[in-house]
Amino acid sequence: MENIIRTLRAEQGWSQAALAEQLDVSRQSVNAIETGKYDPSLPLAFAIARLFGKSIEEVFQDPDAPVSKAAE
Amino acid sequence: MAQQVGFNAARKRYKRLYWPAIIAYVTACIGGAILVDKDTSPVWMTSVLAILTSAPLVFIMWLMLRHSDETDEYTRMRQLQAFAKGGAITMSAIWMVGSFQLWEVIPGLNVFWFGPFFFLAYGLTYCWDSLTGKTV
Repeated sequence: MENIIRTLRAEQGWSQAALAEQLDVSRQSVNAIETGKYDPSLPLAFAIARLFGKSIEEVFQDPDAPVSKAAE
Repeated sequence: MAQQVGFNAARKRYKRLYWPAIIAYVTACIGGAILVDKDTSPVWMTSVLAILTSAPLVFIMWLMLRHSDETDEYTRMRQLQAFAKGGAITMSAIWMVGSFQLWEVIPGLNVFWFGPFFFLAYGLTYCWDSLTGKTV
């Protein structure tokens, strides 16, 4: 799963440690999610999206999802 | 088992009990080495020493499992993967060494050493998984 957490984090000026602190996870967790090494559970994905004031679909994208006619 | 309490609280709860357990283990080891002579001391004394030195390690194993239960999902996944791989490597070593002993190819090896071997295997697989590849 792809995501834009690194971009959103940079916009807020947060370090990985600061984001991890707010999510109550380890800094390694944030790094693994950002780099695509680990896909978070739904509750954690919701928490991340909520923290940035966005929907899950805005933060996480499925690279295998078929492109809709409208999007084309 | 306890419920998830989050990464920071879980780490604090782990460390709060880990260090006293390690101090108890080291104290029992040093105290035992000074006070007990395994050739001349009575059996009850060496038995007490064996319990005092092993109990903190058993307690730390329980602490590790509780920490896995309470920490965040990614840390838990990494710890349990390392636990499983470390356990599998240790079991393989036990079967292999045990077979060599059974067929009297090698002399008896102290069972105690499989404990440190497990922690070594656990630590190495934990580090290896951190350095390589996609974890999930």
